[in-house]
Amino acid sequence: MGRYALQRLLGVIPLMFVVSVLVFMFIHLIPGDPARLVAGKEATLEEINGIRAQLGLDLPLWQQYLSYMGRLLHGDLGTSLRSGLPVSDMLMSRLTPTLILTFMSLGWALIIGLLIGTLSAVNRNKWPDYVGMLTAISGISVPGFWLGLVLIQIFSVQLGWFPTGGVDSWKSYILPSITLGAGIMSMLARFSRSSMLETMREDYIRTGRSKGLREVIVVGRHALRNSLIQVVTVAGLQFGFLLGGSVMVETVFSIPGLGRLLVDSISFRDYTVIQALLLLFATQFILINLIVDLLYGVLNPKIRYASS
Amino acid sequence: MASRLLEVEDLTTEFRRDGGSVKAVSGINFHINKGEVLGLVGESGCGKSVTSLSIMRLLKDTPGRIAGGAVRFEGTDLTRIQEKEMRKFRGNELAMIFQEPMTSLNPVLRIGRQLEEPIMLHLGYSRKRAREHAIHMLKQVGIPRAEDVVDEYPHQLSGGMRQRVMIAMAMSCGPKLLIADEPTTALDVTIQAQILDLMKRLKEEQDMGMLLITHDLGVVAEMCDRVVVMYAGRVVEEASVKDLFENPQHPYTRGLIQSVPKLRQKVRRLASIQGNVPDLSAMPPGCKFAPRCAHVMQQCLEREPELLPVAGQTERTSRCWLTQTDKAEGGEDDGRYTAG
Repeated sequence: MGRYALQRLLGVIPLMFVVSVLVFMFIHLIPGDPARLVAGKEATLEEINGIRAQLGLDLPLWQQYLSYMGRLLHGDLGTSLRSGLPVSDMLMSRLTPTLILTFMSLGWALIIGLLIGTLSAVNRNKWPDYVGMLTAISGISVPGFWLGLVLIQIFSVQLGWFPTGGVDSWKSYILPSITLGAGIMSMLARFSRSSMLETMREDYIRTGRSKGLREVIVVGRHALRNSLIQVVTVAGLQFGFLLGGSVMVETVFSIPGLGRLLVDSISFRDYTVIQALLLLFATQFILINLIVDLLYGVLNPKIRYASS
Repeated sequence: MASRLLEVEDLTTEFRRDGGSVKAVSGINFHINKGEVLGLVGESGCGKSVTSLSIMRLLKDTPGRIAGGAVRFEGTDLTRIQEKEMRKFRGNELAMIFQEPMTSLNPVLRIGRQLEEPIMLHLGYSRKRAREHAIHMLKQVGIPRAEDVVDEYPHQLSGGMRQRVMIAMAMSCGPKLLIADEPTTALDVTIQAQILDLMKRLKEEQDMGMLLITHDLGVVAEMCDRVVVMYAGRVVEEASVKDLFENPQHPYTRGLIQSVPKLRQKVRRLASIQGNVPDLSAMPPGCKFAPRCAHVMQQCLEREPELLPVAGQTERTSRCWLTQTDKAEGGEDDGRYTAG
């Protein structure tokens, strides 16, 4: 396991290198001259050249990359073109709400999705299966912004159980994470159902029954863990959707998170902030998939032992 | 008469198919005495495995269900008891091993954990004691380094070793009847012999009855006391192993025996039974073997013969008009047939 984990960890390094190059190139892919953009419309040519030299944009590309990486490794993500504040400070203040929102969404989606999928598979073509799959289909089909607005209308405006937005207490996160997790929960429910059905046909399931084990044990101990191996992969890939979805959900529920920051930065063309957010999202995605790979090893002894 | 361990009476198992249902096993009868090895022989698709799964009531997750008959294990009809009661038999007094050792063990659980399950469940041992018993069982089935193997995973063992583990698991609660469904088919020939020797030794030591399902007549000759031959979901012949090989009665049995290649005979082509097993949903009206039989007569196509004692022999039955009438042409003996 140790060696397997090390291999996975080392595999992240080239990936991070490619990501950093792409993110660095971003500023140069924007149409127009960044220096001119920073300087503003009224600036003279001299001022623009001054800013260009100040930003290091007159240097060769590789030197620019090296100094960019040097600053990055010191935690310096540049300053916001809009507010002039350090980007890293801006990210830090916005990170917590988004993290809480994403992990709450993923958490309930995983638990409920697995539960619905398993119950559906075990009661195939009976009413729990129909109810479960109807829920899943609805969850996938309903657009997130609509679900968010409906939830606000019912539970905030009419019943008054939860606030309509903001991040004042844990209650504020309930509706947003339901909205954000619904799609993933549905995908996971459908996927774990089919994965479970596949596993239940395996010979070792029959072996388990032939030992006299109760069906709950056969499903819980023998089938669930095997089908989890496949479900975990999907959950990792779905995390990308969560990052995208958080942009929408944070807007609907006015949560001061990274998604809102991205939307605001795009509308103000705050390129340094957008650049930093790209890097952060890409890193998050890589990290989650690293965790998935490691979980793989924990769940599947074949992988754990093959590399040791 | 020796005391009966298992009696299968008129067992019928149906499979749902395209709206209707077909009988994979239709009204079979046989019994196993205490400490006896009964061979269940036949081609693929003749209902051998369905029979074993019906006895164990492991038809869940298949479209099959027991439609009639009784399976009496020491007098208890297993088809009539609650599932909860049935679980007390499975893995305990009634154990089973399967054809596929490579896939019959759970890949994500350690060998020891899988062995401990039935021991803790049926014998009520603690985890620690169950583990000791598991190691003891692994030694019994000839697994070297048993103390290490309990902590290993199935993929670390070869097919032969995994089948030994399956046998250890099945034997762990001291079953009175072991059902072995093609236990050696998936293994190399040398390993096959080892596994058969092991099963024979364990059977002698524990005075256990065994239902050995196989299509391999070599295995039958090696292991069995009596043999039941199945064709198209029916028993077509029952005999002691000696009688069966020396004097097979049913043309199907003869065909099976002839299709075993012999070392000393030089032949251009191996003998085989022409044709295929009939489709369960399109069975011929008379004898189910008639379309492939070299001795087929008019009445074979019209009426199915019953499974009746072979004239002049004890403990032998055959389902063929040829063995049931004095005159091979038959036809005059309808009275005896309907009365029988």
